[in-house]
Order: sequence, then C-alpha cells, then structure tokens
Amino acid sequence: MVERYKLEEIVEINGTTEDKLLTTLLEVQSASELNYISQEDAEFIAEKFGIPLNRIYEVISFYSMLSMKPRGKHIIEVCKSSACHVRKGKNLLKMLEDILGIKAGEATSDNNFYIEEVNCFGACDKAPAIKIGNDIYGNLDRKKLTEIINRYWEA
Amino acid sequence: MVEELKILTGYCGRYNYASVKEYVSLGGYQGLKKALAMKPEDVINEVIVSNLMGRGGAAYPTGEKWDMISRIDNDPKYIVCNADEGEPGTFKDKKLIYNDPMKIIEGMTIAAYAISSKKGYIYIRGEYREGYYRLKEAIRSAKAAGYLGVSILGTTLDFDIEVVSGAGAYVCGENSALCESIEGKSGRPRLKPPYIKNVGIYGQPTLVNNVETFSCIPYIIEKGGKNYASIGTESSAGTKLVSVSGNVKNPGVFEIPFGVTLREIVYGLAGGVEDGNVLKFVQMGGASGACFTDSDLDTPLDYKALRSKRISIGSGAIVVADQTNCAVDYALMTMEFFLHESCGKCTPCREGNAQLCRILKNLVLGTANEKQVRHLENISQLMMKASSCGLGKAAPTAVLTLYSNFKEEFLEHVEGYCRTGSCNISRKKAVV
Repeated sequence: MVERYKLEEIVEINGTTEDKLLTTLLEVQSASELNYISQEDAEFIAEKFGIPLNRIYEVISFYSMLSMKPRGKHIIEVCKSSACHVRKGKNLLKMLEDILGIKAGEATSDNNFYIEEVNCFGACDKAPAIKIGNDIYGNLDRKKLTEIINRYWEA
Repeated sequence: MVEELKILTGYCGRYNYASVKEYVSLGGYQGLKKALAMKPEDVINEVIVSNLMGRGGAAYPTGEKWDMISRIDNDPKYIVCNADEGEPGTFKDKKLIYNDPMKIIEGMTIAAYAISSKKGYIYIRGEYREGYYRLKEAIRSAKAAGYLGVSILGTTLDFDIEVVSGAGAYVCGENSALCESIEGKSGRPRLKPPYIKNVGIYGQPTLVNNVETFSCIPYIIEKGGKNYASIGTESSAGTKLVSVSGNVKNPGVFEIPFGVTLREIVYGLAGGVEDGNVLKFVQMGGASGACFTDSDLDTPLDYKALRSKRISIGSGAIVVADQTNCAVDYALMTMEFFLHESCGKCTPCREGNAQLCRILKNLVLGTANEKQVRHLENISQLMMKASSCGLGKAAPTAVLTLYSNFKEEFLEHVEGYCRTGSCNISRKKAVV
C-alpha cells in the first residue's frame, strides 16, 4: 500500500483524465514497497478518476507490467525473446535462480528480489540482458551477475 | 564494405536531447520553418513525392495517409506517434527517442500543420521509462522556445504534444489498440472499419505514424521530396534503420539506404556470426517476421524484392541465429510470445496460439507425433486467414517458415532426437 500523501501527489501531478490512467497506475505501483497495486490503492485511483473499480482491475490484468500481487523490492526482469534466446538467456535465468535460490515468479524470503521472465525490452544489442527497475545490464556472465545482485543487496 | 548513410540519425549523440538551442545549431527545425512558409497541401505533396513508406511495419505510403486525413472535415484531429516499439529484436526507435527526440517533435509539428491538428500524443512503451522522461523534457523545452504551444514561431499554428506511457502490451502497437490504450483502457484492437483515420482517439480522426516515419519528415521538407526519393531504390525510397542482434559480432542499429543486401548488413555492418559459428537462419521484422536461411541473404533491402521472397521488412529487426540453435525451440519461443501477447478477443488467434504452443512443446519434450506436426500447417493457415487483426495473422509466420526450411529437424524431434542439443529433448537423451 502506498501512503495517502504520495497517492495524492501522483494524482495531483498527472491529473485525472483517462489518458493519464496508465501512467498513474505505473507510478503508484513503483511507489509501493513491493511493486504492486493494492486493493486500497486501486480503489483510491478509481474514485479519483471517477471510473468503476472493475475497469481498474481490467486494465491492471491486461498489461503485463502491472500487478495486483505483491512482488519484491527489486524486480529482476529477464528477457526471454529472440535475441536473448539465441544468446542463451535461459542459462542466464538459471544462474540467477541459482544465485538467489528462487524460481522465476517468486520473491526471496526477505522480499528484496523478485524474478520475472519478460518479453523483449529493446536491449537486444546487449543480449542476454536483464532489467532491474530502469537499469539495463547486458552481456552477462555469472561473475558480473553476482556483482550486480550484491550491489542491490547493499543498497 | 557497405557504409551507413546517416540522414536520419546524423544528430544522434551530438546534442543534449533536451536542448532546442543545440538542436537548432546543428541545423534542426529548418524543416518546420520551411513548412510553415508553404501551403499545407504543398507540404503533403512533398511527402507524397518522397515516396516515404510507414516505418512501423505496414509500409503504408505516408503522404497518402496524410492526404486522406487532411481532407476529413471533422475537428479536433489527433496526431499519434507510435513509440510502442515492441517487436522482439527491434531497438531502433529507442535510438531516436533517447538521442534525437527533437526530430520526432519537429516531424509531428510539421504533420500537425499539414493536416491541421492541435493535439498530439507520443505513445511510448512502458519499458522505455527513461525515454518517457526524455521526451517530456524535450517537449517542455520545445514549448519554452516557442516551437510548441500557442502560435508556434509567430504563426497561427497551435500544437501541443503529450507523452503517454504504455504498460507492457505488444498488441498496443496495433493502431486501434493503441487508441484504446491512450484512452486508458485495455489495448484490444477495434473492429475495422471504421479506420483510425476517421474514427480514432475519442472517436475523432487520428493520424498514427511510427517514430522513424515522423523523424524522416524534417529532412524531406527541408531537402525536398524528390531528393529523398532519389536515395535508395525505385521501389523503396530513402534510408532504413535496421536493428541487428542475436549471434553476431557487432550488434546494433544501422542506418542504410535501401538496396543494400542483407548479407552486407549481417556480414559487413554487424561483423558476421560470432564465435566462428555458422549462420543457421535469420528472422526479419520481429517475432511476426519470416525466418530464412543463407540462400536469401543476397536479396537487397527493398520492399518489393523481399516481398517476392515472402519476407517483410516489418520493423527492420534482423535477428541472426547460428547452428547451435534448435529450430523447433525457436519456434516455440516465438509462439509463447504470441500466446502471452494475444489479446484474446478473437478465437483463431487465442486458440491457435495455444494449439501451436502445445504441439511445439510436445515436440521439444519428445512426445509429439507426425500427425500433430502436420497440424502445425493447418492451424497456421487458419490463423492467417481468420484472425481479426494483424497480430493473429502474422503470429504463425515464424513457425511456417521454420517448418518449411527445417522440416527434417522437426521430424527428428518426433523420433526423439535434436541435432543441436539445445532444446529440452536432447538433455533427456543425454541422460539416457
């Protein structure tokens, strides 16, 4: 759940016309501790936009970047599309699962990391690539991957 | 050795993306200034003469599209820049968005003048969050410098642009789904007709062009449509951005004039196959594109020449796969993409993707039979004929082309054997 003042602020900055709904949902989600949109937050947005709650549910369930399920503090997105596939992105996913001791679609017990397999995010020139928040890391091997994870662990 | 021709990407990396001053000092906004001194119909005519085709994938003549919308008498009209670059293997719009956003804004503003629109949207995929902020900042400075907003450059033109973020849905690259998404709804394609040019955002006439298409406009107006048409080939004017990735030494975005062969792109610009491996196939145009082998590489990059080989340029993505890749596994990866991205509205696409995935999965598990393999073709044909939008129509392209090029390999999987050892089946074999 996102704090009320933060929700108010996001809505205030973006406005409540319908073309701002997706941006608002994305921003509310990233303001939440575990990268999801809670029932309460969804209700708040529905009320502010003056649209039914079921519309909010529909939109959240349609777009793959949005989630109503708590995920983790850092979402590690692993690309599984063509360029990463042919440069053995599957091995990268296995390494990552091995390092964190979880599978894709799961969070670490401290909720610090959540692994998600995703489609192409346009970092094909660095394949195989992962994305953590807005940061993209490519051309990875086990050593580099461990270093990156450690950096987020410390942060 | 083939070289790039940077008439579109020449400013990339040479100015601060949010500085109008630096953009102008490089020669930016000359196109808009020239356009504003012309009659709107003459601006459209230059675009028609340039022979520019839409760069998003459909290759629809841009000038013709502008002309049709300019004749529709219904206000307001909207302009949308499709920056929902979602075709796997494509990252060329990203280059323009991140490094030369002013050119996109300039191209859209020229379009606004030509078709008389006051409001534009840039719909950018959610994955390009940094690009979203850069565009917003660039728009803010263009507005502050009088290149956007009310009475642009002292003329009667009013035009403003808003950036709208997607949230991870490939289908929103389809024009009508994109309009739905801008309206804050799920991005399901609409039934057509009516077409977007007549009934688009909020039911109003809407012009949708790709990032690369809009970015071509300033050059066309400044140097003239004839000049642009003289670059490239007779059937494909100008330059094209290609995104080359996969098993190549030097992946990246390259701007080349039409007419350069695919071999020159893959082996010249992208440095050829990495690690001393051998090229197995190339997929062109993204996940919805055809897969073909070395024998087609001498085809020039040209809409007509490639069409004769049943290859579409699409978004300009070129993904190279070497011999270590399993053709069936690649087909499965592609179909899993479409299974996930299908909006589920029409049955052929929703169920077809699921069925193709099921058969391909059985193949890599070694549990498929020959009859199922034959079904791959039937289901694919049905999807191509009966799906409601372009997503379902193009989804089975990779399966069909991989199957026709690597039939033997597909049948080997029925026997429980994979020659590459890179899919599921081989690991099982290796243990036994």
